[in-house]
Amino acid sequence: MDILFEETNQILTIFLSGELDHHNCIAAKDRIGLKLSMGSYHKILYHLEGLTFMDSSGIGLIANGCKIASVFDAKVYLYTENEKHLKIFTMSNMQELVTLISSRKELDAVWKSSMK
Amino acid sequence: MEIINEMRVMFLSKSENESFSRVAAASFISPLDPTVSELVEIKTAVSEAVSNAIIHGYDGTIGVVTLEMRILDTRTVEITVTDQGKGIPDIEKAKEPLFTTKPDEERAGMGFTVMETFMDSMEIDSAPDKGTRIMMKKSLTTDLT
Repeated sequence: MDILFEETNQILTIFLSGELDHHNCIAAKDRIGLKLSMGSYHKILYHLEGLTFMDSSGIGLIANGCKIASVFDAKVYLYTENEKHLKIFTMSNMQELVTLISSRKELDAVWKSSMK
Repeated sequence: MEIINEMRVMFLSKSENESFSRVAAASFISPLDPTVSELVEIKTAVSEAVSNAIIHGYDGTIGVVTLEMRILDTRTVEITVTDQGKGIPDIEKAKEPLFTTKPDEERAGMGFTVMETFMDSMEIDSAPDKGTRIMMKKSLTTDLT
């Protein structure tokens, strides 16, 4: 699994691609946790469109990021159009922790307003 | 039910074998020409069951995980994942969404919920210090005949 960070005006986008399971989740969690704890962000976007596989390990990964983000009161967004991934997130009530974005149009609208 | 095909693979409880088990499962059912949705659901359920054996069954120790798959009556896939690990003391509790014995490791406690949601049926046999067997079935929709 690959992780790419992009920072603009205290907004951090985390691009995840490849396969996310319990095996590679531990390293991903550490890497993202370190990145989050080194900065101070207003908004964090998990961009998951590059993920080709994800099981319930994704829930723990995002929840861990939310815990760290809550220290500096950042708002967390999660973008995926994958129906199965959305199902896994909604069945765990992830929408209570993050804003789930399920279309490119919605992403563009949210991001345009966040840049103002 | 007539057994059309079956396979069994055994591997060590190393987390890198999670992806191997998914690939093995996907390869085995590929002659049935499942839809992308069915394939993803089966791969996810296998990944959850195998992760459960590795993380909770063996809990950091090395043991053997067995993945067995059968094709029954042409379109039904039966999956069994077995370990000889520490077992589940309270199966009903373990099946509750968000229940986890490892909250400090940010485990979601959604593995069984995902398996139940993505498969048609799921049964768990488990006994403390004996191990756990998870059996799942899914009927594929597309009929090529």
